[in-house]
Amino acid sequence: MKRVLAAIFAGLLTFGAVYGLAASLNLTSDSLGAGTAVVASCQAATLNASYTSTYSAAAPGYTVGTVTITGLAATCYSKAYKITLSTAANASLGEATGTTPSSGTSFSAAFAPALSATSITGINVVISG
Amino acid sequence: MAAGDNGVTRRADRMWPRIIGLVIIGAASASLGAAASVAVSSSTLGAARTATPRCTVAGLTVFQNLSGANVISVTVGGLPAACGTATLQVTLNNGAANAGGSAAVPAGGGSVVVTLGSAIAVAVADQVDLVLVGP
Repeated sequence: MKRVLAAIFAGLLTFGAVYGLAASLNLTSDSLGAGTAVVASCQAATLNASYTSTYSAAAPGYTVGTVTITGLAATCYSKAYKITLSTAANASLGEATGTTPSSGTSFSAAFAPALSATSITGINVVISG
Repeated sequence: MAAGDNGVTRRADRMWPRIIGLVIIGAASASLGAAASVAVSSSTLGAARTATPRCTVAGLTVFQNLSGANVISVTVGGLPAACGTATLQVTLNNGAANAGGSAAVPAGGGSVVVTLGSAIAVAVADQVDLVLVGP
């Protein structure tokens, strides 16, 4: 019985090693880490944009130099923002950047130079941080 | 025969710790796999786009009201109710100077007389620019 078991063990050891050698490859690996996190908005309530228009003889016509955003929630305080005014073809007319205030419910963004009121058909806002 | 049976029993007894050891090694390997995951957190990010609507795309009438040879006000008509409560700003440019003013549009629309901040000489061709802000 011992001999039989010894023979089986020796066979497994031998062929197992051969199999192991045949199947092995030289392999290195770069690091790989993965994770998931939710990207949430700082508020769910609606923001509203209003425009301050000024006549420009150089344009000539009315231009928008200031956009005021109202409806800001405290959860969006002190965060970076970008506001882009765009055309009907979604082309950017100009961008204003800044940081939302640490209090209050509104903030104003200035566009320099001011943009043609006639061309503005869309507004894009992003708040991050 | 009985001694052989005892020998098998002893071997089986010795196998269990080995099996348990293999299970522990397997579990440790699984833990090693979990350790390769990366903890991720995210700051907030919110973005939106909306159209800047027009309260009307219809043609509006524009009349210059004169006092002598000067334009003192502009009457804008044809305003629909959708433009009600908006602020109408008007600027007249005669090529040499400009003057402007603003007035609120009635809730039901209609016409609005915008008085210019200063009288301006009427010219052969005047340019009148207007903008409706709000409602």
